[in-house]
Amino acid sequence: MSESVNIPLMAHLMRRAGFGARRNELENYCQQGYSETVEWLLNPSEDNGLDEDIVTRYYIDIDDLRNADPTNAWWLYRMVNTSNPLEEKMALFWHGLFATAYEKVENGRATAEQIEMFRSHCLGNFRTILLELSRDPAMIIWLDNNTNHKGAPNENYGRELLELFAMGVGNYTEEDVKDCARAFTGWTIANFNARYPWGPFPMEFEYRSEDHDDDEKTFLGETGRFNGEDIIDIVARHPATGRFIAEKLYHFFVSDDPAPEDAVAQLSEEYMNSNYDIRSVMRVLLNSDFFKQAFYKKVKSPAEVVASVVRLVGDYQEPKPGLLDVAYESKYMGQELLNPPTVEGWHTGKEWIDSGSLVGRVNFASDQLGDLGQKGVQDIIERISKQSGHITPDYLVDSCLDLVGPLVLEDKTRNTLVDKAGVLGDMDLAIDESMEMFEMRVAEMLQLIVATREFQFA
Amino acid sequence: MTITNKFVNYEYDHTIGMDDFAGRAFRNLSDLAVADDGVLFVLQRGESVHNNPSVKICTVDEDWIGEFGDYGQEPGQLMWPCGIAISNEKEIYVTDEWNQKVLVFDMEGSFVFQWGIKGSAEGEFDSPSGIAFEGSGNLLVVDARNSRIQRFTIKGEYIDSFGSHGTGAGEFNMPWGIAVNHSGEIYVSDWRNDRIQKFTSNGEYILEWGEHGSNEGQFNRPAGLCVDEDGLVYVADWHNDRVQIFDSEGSYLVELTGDATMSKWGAQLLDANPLMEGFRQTAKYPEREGKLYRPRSVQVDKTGHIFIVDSCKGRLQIYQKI
Repeated sequence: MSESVNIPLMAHLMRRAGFGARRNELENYCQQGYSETVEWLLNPSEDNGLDEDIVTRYYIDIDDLRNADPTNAWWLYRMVNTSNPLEEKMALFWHGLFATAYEKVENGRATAEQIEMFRSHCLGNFRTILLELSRDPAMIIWLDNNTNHKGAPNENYGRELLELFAMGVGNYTEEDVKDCARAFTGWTIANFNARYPWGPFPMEFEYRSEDHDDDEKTFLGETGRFNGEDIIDIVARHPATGRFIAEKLYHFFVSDDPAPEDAVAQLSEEYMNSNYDIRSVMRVLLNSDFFKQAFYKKVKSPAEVVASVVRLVGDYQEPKPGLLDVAYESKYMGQELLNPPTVEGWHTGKEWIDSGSLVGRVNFASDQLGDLGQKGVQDIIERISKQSGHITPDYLVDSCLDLVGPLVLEDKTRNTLVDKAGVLGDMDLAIDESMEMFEMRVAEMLQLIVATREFQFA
Repeated sequence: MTITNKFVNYEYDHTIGMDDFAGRAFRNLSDLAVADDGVLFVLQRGESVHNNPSVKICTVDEDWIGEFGDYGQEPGQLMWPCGIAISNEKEIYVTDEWNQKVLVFDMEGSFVFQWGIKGSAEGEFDSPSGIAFEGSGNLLVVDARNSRIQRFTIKGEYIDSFGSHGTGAGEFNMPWGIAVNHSGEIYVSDWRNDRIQKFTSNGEYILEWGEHGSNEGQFNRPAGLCVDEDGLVYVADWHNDRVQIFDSEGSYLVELTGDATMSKWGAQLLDANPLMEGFRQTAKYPEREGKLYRPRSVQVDKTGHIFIVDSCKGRLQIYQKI
């Protein structure tokens, strides 16, 4: 397959399995090949290319991670600069699924450690992920498992484990919820509120056997003196869990539309056959026809909008002031990372878009891509000018669409852009004074493109 | 708590500060300067993007005096302050890694003048970080991303420089701290090379020590450093959460890892908020509270006090050499 055929598919892969890629990166991935790139994505390197020592030297608050703001800023920086894009994308997936909010946890480092846990296990075994989640201090606070006591169970974590995290409604009974909660009694944390006068003590998982209900329980048809690990074993191997994870992965990585039965069957079968290995499931997903044919079937989440635009324009490749302001943009568009609105996470798809958030999305992208000082914008200008010295309106529009996406617009929208570009006619770059005008016209065209409906999709 | 080896003894003295951003508290600490009268000028960075960076002023007995500093890029404003030092003329010099400047304030915090622009030519900066005055009164500035040390008069006039990028003798990779001993010899923490280099006053290489690691004499990104009256060298071993102490030739002597006890400001906070104190009493492993966390700088005064800038704990830990 030639490179020109491969670029749109590779761009699709990198939008979904990462936060987009610049053209030179796409060309390199195409040289590497599709399945090889998938394998590279599935096997993150130990070196994430982030130079964390330099980041923390300049951002002292990221060295500290005292509260949500620097943790949020650091995550954006990682999305933009990581050389392990799927690792960050999977962390975002798990964060959306196991939605935990700083607003209640009130401990930046515990929140950051939860996201780091998601990274560490992002493509690992789902049983391990659930076990780590059940021991995670931020989750324990978020769903009150520190108040889940022998003889006085708090069902919050047990219920959400089954309903929202692993199986879905209809696959368990109310009695299952009760015994699930009993199995997690005694799973608590140390250092919950100790934080003054020099900041929080590190929170730690703590198992208190004296507070654990060790009596017999019946859960999903099995009976025994179950502890939390036993519950997770039963949940992980349940067929409903395979389907649940298959549907969640499909919606996050493939399409906002309902998952077709054959896709769910493929993914859930791989889940069971691989002993719940998420890497194996993702390998099937990313190599599937249903994934490869799902161009622009998802509305970008605000975090994707921000990270992909910053990545495209080449900003924040090194520490500089203003990072937190950029991270806040996602919040203004409706997705404040580390602070999901409820334990259900965010409502996605078209619900990302309302009149206010749409203006925010367009304005942010327009400001960034209209900035001629951005390296990525200059790269686009240079590529277009190198391909031809004579720039027609059609060529200007198509080149910009190609380098931003490649993005395919409805004819009506494209024609409107061509008409706009045609107002000032053709350009001959051999004439010195045309270059400055050309740069401005490219920037203007990029700003118009990011205002199109199509740009809002991944 | 006494920390000792056969050559030197240090006794933990007390702790200053509590964690908060505004007012009588510290957060995101970068450096410290000790005036001859014992007044402490503590340099604090802003958050990732905003909030005022400032110089906070207090006494060694933890009496609050005040603060100064504004965020921005106008003359006299700070964005990413990194190093602070006081001249013989009793003026405060502060480096700013983002604005690429050295700023000068009087002892009351009024802006006097500044110099520097981004670049690599003589007198220009790319991330100026540690600073130290020589006995002659001239100022040495670590020009981190230009991998060199530049020397200026106190008026900001360029004199000379030494160093280049690399891993060899006299070369640097993003150096950070700098200190001068009584003989005028210069020590530089060669941050990303995880070593300390020693130079003559003319910038000629003398010796070096250190490598990456966490054992004695090894470093995980050495930050600020200082030299005491006896020529001993104190290095804030940033990501090893300790201060290592060496003789003038780099032989390891001892390390300080933190022994913080309740500060005056902290005690006042807890006294006024019994609930906070109650929470604190529930902490598991309370001894960890006293340990250093990301120390970025260490300074000594003429009475043998060692001040450790315990950056991510919002406090200064003070030891006494005995």
